[in-house]
Amino acid sequence: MKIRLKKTQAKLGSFWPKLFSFILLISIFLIFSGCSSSLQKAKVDFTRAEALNKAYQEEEAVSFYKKSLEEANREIKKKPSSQAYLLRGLNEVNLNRWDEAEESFRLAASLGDDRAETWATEVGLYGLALSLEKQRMDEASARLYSSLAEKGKFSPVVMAAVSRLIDSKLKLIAEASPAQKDKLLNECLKIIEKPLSENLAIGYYHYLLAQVLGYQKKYRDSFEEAVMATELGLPTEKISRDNDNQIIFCYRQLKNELSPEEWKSFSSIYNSWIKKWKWLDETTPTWKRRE
Amino acid sequence: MEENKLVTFLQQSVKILQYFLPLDSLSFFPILYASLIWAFDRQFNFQAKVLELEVWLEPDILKSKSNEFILDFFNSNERLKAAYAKELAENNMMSLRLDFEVLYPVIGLQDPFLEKLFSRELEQGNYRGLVNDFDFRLNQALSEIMVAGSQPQFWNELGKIGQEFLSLGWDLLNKADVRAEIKKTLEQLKK
Repeated sequence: MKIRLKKTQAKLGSFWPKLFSFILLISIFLIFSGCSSSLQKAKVDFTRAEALNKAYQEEEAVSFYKKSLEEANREIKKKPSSQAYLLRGLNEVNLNRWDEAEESFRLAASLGDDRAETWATEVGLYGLALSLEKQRMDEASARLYSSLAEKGKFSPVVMAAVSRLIDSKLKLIAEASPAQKDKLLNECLKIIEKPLSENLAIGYYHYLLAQVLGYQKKYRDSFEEAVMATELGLPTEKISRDNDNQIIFCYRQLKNELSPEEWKSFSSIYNSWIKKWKWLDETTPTWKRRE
Repeated sequence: MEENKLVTFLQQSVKILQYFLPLDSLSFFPILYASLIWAFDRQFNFQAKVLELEVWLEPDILKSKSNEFILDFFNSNERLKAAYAKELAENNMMSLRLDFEVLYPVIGLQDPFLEKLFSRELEQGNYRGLVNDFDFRLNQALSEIMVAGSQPQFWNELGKIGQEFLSLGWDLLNKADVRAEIKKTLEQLKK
C-alpha cells in the first residue's frame, strides 16, 4: 500500500512540472499569436470603445479609441492594409481628428477599399466646413453642412453636420420674428427628416427632433421622440440628461393643456416609462436631486 | 455604508490632495466631490472630465432653448422663481435667457464640479452672484487644477481615491443619495 502511494506521489510529482510546462507553452503560444495581430487587438478595442460609448462612459470610450488607434498604427507599420487604415480612420473620427481621418481613409481607398474614398471626401468637406465656421464664414459653412446632411453616406459625418445645422438655426430663433421663427423651425424639421428616415435607430436624431418639436409646442410629439431617444441611446451623458429634462418639460406642459381624460391616459403611459427607467418620481430621474 | 467610514475615507483623501492643492484653494473641494461622483458613474478619466468643463456647453443645442423651456426652468424651482420674480413678472426673456445659459448646467444638468464650486451661492439662493462670478471663478479653479495636474501623480492619486471610494460599497444607494451624503460629509470636514 505504502509502495503504491509512493509511486502515485512520484507520478504526481513529475505530473505537475509537466503540466506547468504545458500550460506555459500554451500561454506563450497564445501571447505570441495575439501579438501577431495588432489588427485584431485594434478591432477588439474599437468594439469595446463603441460599447462604452453607448453606456455613456465617454471618457473610458475615448481611452479605448486611443488604444485601438495605437494598435492600428502598429499594424500599419508592420503590414499596411486597407482594413488597418480604415480602422485608424474610424478611431480618428471618434476622437474628432477629422484631418487625420481624411488621410487614413484616402490611404485605405488607395489600397482598394471601395467605401473609403467617399468617406475621405465627406470627412474632408466636414473639416473644411468647421474651419469656415471658425472664420465666421457662416453661409459657406452652412452650404457644406447642408450638402453633407442631405447627400452624405458616412453616418458620423452626417450626424455631425445635421447637429451643426440645427444648432445654427436654433441660435437664431431667440431674436427672430414669429414668421421667421416658423420658417427656421420648418427648416430644422426638413434637415432632420432625411437622416432620421434612413437611420431610425439613431437616438440622437430623435433627440434633435424632440427639441425642435418642443419649440413648436407639439409637446406630445416631442415627448414621444424624447422617449425614443432615451430608448435608443444618446451620445453623451449631458445630452441624455438634457433629454430627460425635455421629457419632464413636456410632462408639465401637457399637464396644463390636456383635458382630464387625455391627461389620465397620458399619465398612465408616462408612469409606465418612468417605472421602466426607475425614476424616483414623475420629475426626478435617478441622476437628479429631489427639489 | 457607515458614516464613520466615509468621514475617515474623506479625511484621508483630503490629506492626499493637500499635497497637490492648498486646502483653501477654490478647486479643492469641487475636484474631490466631482471625482467621487464621476467614480460612482464609473467614469475614471478625470483629466478628460476636467478639460471638458472648459467647453462643457458644446453642443449649442444644450443652451439654445425655447422661451417656454426657460420659463419652465425658472418657474419649476421655487427658489429660482423667487429670485427671478421681477423678470418673470415682466416676461423679460432677454435677461432670463442670459442667466439661464449659466444656471442650466449647474442646476438643470447638475454638473458635480460646478455644483460644488458654487455650493455657497446655491445654498444661499444667490443665483445672480453665481452668474456674475461664473466665468472668473471657473477659469481660476481650472487653472489651479491645471497647475496641480502638471504633476502626473495628481491624476493617479485622484483615480485611486475614486477607486477606493467605490470599494466602500455604495452599490445599494442611488446617485441622489450618494450626492447628498458626500456633500454633507464634505461640508462637515470644511468646518
